[in-house]
Amino acid sequence: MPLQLKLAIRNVFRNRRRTLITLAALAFGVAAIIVFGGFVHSIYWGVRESTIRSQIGHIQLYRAGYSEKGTIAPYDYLIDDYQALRAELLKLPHVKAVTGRLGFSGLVSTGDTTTSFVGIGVQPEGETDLSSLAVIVDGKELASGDPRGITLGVGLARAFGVKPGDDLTLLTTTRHGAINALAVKVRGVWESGEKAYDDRFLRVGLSEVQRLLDLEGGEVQSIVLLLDATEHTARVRAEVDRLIRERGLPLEVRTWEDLALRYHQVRELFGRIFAVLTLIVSIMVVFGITNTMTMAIFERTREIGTIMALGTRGRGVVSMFVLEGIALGLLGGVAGLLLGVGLAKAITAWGLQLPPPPGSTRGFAVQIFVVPEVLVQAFRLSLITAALASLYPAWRAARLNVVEALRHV
Amino acid sequence: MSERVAVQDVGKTYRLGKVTVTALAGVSLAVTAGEFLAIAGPSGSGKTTLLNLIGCLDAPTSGTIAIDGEAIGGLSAGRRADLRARKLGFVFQTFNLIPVLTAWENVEYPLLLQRRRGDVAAKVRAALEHVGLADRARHRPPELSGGQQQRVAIARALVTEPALVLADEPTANLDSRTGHEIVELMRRLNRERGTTFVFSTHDPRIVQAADRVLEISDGRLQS
Repeated sequence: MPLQLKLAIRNVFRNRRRTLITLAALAFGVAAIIVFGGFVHSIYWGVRESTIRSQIGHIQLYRAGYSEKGTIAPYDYLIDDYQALRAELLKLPHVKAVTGRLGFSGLVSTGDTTTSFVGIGVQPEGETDLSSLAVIVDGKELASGDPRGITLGVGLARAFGVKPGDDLTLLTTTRHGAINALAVKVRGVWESGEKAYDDRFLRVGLSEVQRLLDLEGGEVQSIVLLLDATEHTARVRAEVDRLIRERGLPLEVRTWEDLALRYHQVRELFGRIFAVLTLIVSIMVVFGITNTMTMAIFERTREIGTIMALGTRGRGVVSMFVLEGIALGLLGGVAGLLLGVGLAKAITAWGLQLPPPPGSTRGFAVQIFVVPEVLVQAFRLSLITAALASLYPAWRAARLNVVEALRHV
Repeated sequence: MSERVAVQDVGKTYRLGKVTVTALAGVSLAVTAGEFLAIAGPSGSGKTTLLNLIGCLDAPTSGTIAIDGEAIGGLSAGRRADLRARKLGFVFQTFNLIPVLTAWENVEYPLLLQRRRGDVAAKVRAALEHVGLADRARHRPPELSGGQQQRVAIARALVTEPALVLADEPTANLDSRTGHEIVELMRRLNRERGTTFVFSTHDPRIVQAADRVLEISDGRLQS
């Protein structure tokens, strides 16, 4: 080992108590980043997966032009050859389920009370996978064998006071503008945890909706793909794009990243909070290291004078103290990694419950993910900040007057 | 014999607040190679200042100093550091070993500073043997007595085979018997290896060991 390094490491452990306090501060800072970073990533994951698995799937296909003008004239942008396309899409690797959807809205009535709703016509098989996070809390899922059975959000069901087995009437306009009604029966009540969704939405079998809207050709508005894992989205999207190109289909593709607006908002918000935390920890590290180094330099003034007298140049003195800073950063970083990962696992195992976040009805258990990139970031912060924080005291040490330093007691 | 050090009309003044203190005035001296020179005088007489100037630790206010014919005035701090590493050895009153390094590593330090190739270990071993501390090589300074620490410091000063060893009151922090031993050791190394020594002291018994004694008082050499 080079003598400079040996010197730095031994000097680090010279004042054990002070070093331990400094290392503890570093380790807690690093652990805070790891735990909070891991928590934030679990939130990202939760929001992403709940959005994908309760509403939007991984990939959606529409008739070209739909995302621009579809909201005004939804029935002008329908996909015709849905069944054939579905069969093709199901053959792609990583695709777990493919389901067509038809969005519509109107009024729902019990006979006594009437309210507005947003309906989705879904294909019962496949939709069960896709809506795995919208859990049936009462009754049953949609089934092809029960075309008139519908499911609705828990908020809507409660507002209406309906339960499985009750009759409802759906009122809407067909693609041609005529009023049409459909008598249905409540089959199940689900809860997604997202209040806006649970209060307004209901689900109806696709074939019934097609009939209700006068779409006898079996058209759908969108085709939703659910994959085996979110990480495969880009790869499958490329396959879908290729398929569309080869067949010359008039379709456009959107992935969950394009559609999950809330996910991006959450990322933005937590990303900023995380940046502030990182800044606070950095400042803490800077103060801790600067303080430790300044005290060390004061105590070792005569020693600095001695090594300078022996012919050590200023930069040799600087590198000695910066090496000490790096050694502190390294040790604090390692201790912080162990502490942070340990805390992350302990908190996750503990299963601490948090209240529902805004816009949600369900509380959730805190999960702290151990994210490799957060570990690297926290460790790097400790190392780099410690090295930088030791620069100024080191530079001051190098500028000591040798004669005065030698006289220092 | 060649001239190791040439001090020509050197003066050094300090400013202490508004007062200018003259530490040295018009000092001229020459040290020949292989000499064992004592600078004697009471404390505050300017001995340390003179040694600091010869040792390139400080710059004179006036006059010139040359070591081995190389003028040291006007050198940058970095160049002065290089010159000290290359040509000078230091022995301090308070030993000044690096406490976290072993005796061996303390002696090794100046060699590593010079990035000397070749057998560093052999040089360190020889230096420690010369001062009779080969068996204490793995000990750190706090585990050594004052006399032993000063011997390690002498080994550290000699290991690079410097042109000149400067020792500022090397015995002041030792009891008289150990102090005497240290001076004897320096004297022996001076004779055996021809190393030039300049040391300061105010102990008359130690002065006797020197080839030549320069008396200094109030910043002036006494003739």
